[in-house]
Amino acid sequence: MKLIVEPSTKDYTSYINNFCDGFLLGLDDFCNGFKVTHTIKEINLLKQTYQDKEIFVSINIPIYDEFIDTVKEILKELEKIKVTGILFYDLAILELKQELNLDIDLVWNQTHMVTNSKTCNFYYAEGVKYAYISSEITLEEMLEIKKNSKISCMALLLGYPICSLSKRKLLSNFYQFLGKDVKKNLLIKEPVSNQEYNLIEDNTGTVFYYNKLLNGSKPYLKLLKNNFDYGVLKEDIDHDKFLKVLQSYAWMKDNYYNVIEEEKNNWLANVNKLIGSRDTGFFYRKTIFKVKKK
Amino acid sequence: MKRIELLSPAGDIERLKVTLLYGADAVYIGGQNYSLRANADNFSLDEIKEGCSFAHNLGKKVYLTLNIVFHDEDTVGVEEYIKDVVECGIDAFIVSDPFMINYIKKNYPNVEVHLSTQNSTTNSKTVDFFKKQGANRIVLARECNKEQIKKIINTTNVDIEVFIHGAMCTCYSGRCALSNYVTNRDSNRGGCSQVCRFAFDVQDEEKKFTMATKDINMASYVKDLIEIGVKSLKVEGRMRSLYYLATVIGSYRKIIDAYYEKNLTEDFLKEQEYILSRVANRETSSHYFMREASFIDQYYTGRQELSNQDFLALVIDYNKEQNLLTMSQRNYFKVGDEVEIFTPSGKNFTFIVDKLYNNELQEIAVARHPEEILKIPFSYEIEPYSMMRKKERKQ
Repeated sequence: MKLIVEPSTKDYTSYINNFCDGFLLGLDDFCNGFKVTHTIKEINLLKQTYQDKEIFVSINIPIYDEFIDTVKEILKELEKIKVTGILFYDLAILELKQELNLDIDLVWNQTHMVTNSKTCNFYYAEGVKYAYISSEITLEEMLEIKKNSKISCMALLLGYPICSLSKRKLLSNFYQFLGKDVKKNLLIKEPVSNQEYNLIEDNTGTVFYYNKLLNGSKPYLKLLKNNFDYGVLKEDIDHDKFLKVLQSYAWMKDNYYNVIEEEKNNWLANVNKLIGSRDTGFFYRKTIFKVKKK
Repeated sequence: MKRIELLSPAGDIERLKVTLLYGADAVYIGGQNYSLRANADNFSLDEIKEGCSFAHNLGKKVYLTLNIVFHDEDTVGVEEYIKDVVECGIDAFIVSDPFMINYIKKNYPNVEVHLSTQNSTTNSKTVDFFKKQGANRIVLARECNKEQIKKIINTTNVDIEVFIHGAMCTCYSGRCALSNYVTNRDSNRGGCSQVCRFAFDVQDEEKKFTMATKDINMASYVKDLIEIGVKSLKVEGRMRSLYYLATVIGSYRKIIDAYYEKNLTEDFLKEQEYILSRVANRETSSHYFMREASFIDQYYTGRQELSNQDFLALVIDYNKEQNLLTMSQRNYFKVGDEVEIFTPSGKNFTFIVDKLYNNELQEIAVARHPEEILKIPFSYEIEPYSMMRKKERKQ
C-alpha cells in the first residue's frame, strides 16, 4: 500500500523525510475541502523536484459550462506535468479526457458514491485507473470492491471526513439573518446526537466536515493484509504529531509481514495514542436505509 | 407540436391513477427495492403492472426509480428485478449508478434510461458522457440556472428534465451524507432523514443554525422552460397526498395547456399560483433559476411546515337516479360551509353545503370522522376522484 499525504502546509520535505509515497493536492479555485490549495506552477515544481513521488491533483468542484474551457486548459497543463492522477467528481473531466484523448490518469472521486465494484469496473473500462472509495461504507465492503474490481483503490485513513457540499452560502446567509459580520467557518452541534459539524464557506459554496477525527489505524492493518492500493492521510492534526503518525504507518507497511500479532497490537496502541481519536467512522458501522416495517 | 411532458410522482397505485387523471403525462414510481424513497409505500410487481396498464390505456407512461447508489450487496438480484419490471411494461428506468445504464440499454434497448438528479449534472460535457452511455434523458441538478439549462439543451441534443415543484435539498443531490453521519441512515440508498431540516446549536449564540430551504415553485417560469427546450417538467413528492398531487398536477396541466393554446394570461397564472399556494406547506421560491439562491430562499427558525386542512372529501361515486354524491371525508366541514369541487377533467363547482347525510342516509350536520362515507345532494354528474375543498376568497 502507498501512503498519500493531503498536506496542510507546503513544507513537502517534512512529509518526504517521513516516508510518504506521494501527495494529494487541491487545485486552486477548482477544489473544495482542502486546507491548502496549489497552483499549477507549484504542482509542476513539486513534480520536478520529487520525481519518484506520486502526485495526485484534485479538481472536485461541480463544473458549470462557463468553466469548461478553463478546465480543458488545466487538464492539458496537468498532462504535460505528468501528474500521477487527477481526482474528479464531475464527469465532464472524464468526458474531456476521452474527447481530447489526453494522456492523463483519473481517480473517480464522487465522495459518497464510490460504493460498489460494478461501478468501479464501469469506470475502469472507461479509462479511469483509480477510485477513491467512499468513507461511508464498511471495511468489508471496501475489501469486496478491491477483490471484485480491477481499479486501484484509495481510502481515507486519517482526517475529518467531508459529509456534504452545498452550493448555497449557508454561513453568509445565517450571519445575514443574525445581522452580524460574516464568518467563513462555523462549528454547529446537533443537539440530540451531540455530534458536531464544521462548516466552511468558500466561493463554491459550503462544505460540511464531521468534527470527529477518523482514525483508520486498525482498518489499515487489514487493508495492508489485503494488498489495498492507497491510504490517504489528511493532515488534520498537529504537524509534528502528523509526521510521527506518517512515519509509524510507513514502518508498519514495511514490516507488516515481519512482525507478530503482539507487535501489531503495540503499534496500534501507540498510534492510537498519537492520533487521540478512536473514531473509526463507518469502517465497522453499517448504515441502514429502511426504517419502516412493510 | 409535441407538448412538454408533465411528470408526476406517485407513491402508490391510487395516487398513480389520480395524478394521471388530473393531467400528468407520465408518473415516476418506486419499486419495493432500489429506490431513493425506501420508506415510502412503493409498488409491488403486480401494482407496477396494473399502473403501466392503466397509464398505457390513457396513452401515458410510467417510469421506475432505480436510483440508489448501489453497494455490492444491493446489486444481488437487481438484474432479475429489472427483467420482471420490464415484463410489467415499464417505459423507463431512472438510475444514478452508471453501470445500470449499460446493463439496461444492452439487455432492453427499447426501454428508456433517465439519469437521476442524484448525479447532480450541471454541464453539457457530463450530459455528453451519459448520452454516449445510452441515457435517453438527463434530470439536471436543481442548482442550474436558466442560461445553464439552455446551454446544455442547445449543445447536447439529449432530452432534459428539470424539477419544477416541491421540496428542495439544501446540498447537491448525491453529494450529501449528512443523514449517514447524524442518524446512520444512508441518504444515497433511500434512507435520507432530512438532516437539512434539523436545527443545530451554535456556541455563544442564542439562535439556532438552520439551513432548511423553501420549496421550489416554477409556475411563473413554465413558459420559459418550454421555450428553452426542456422536455419534461418534474414535480417532486412520491410521499405527497392524493389531494396535493391532484391540485399541483391539475394546476400545472392548466398552465401548460394555456401556454400552447395561447391563453396564458397574467390573471390566469395568478389564479393557478393561488391554487398552488393553498396546498403548499412551506413558502416557495424559484431558487437558482433566475439568480443565485440566497438568504431569502431559506428558513432560519426551525421547521416551517403548515398542516393543510383544505381537503374536505374525496368523491367516490355519483348516483344519477338520486342525484347524490358519495364521498369519503378527509377534514372537518359542516352544513352551511361554502365549498368547491374540482374534477380530474378540470371542471370546478362552487356551492354551499345545505344537506349532508351519512352512509345510512341519515341527515347529519357535521362531517367530523376521517374516511367516514358521506352523501351530498348534487345536480351534476361528476367522476370519481373529484375532490371537495374549502372555498376561500383570495385576499
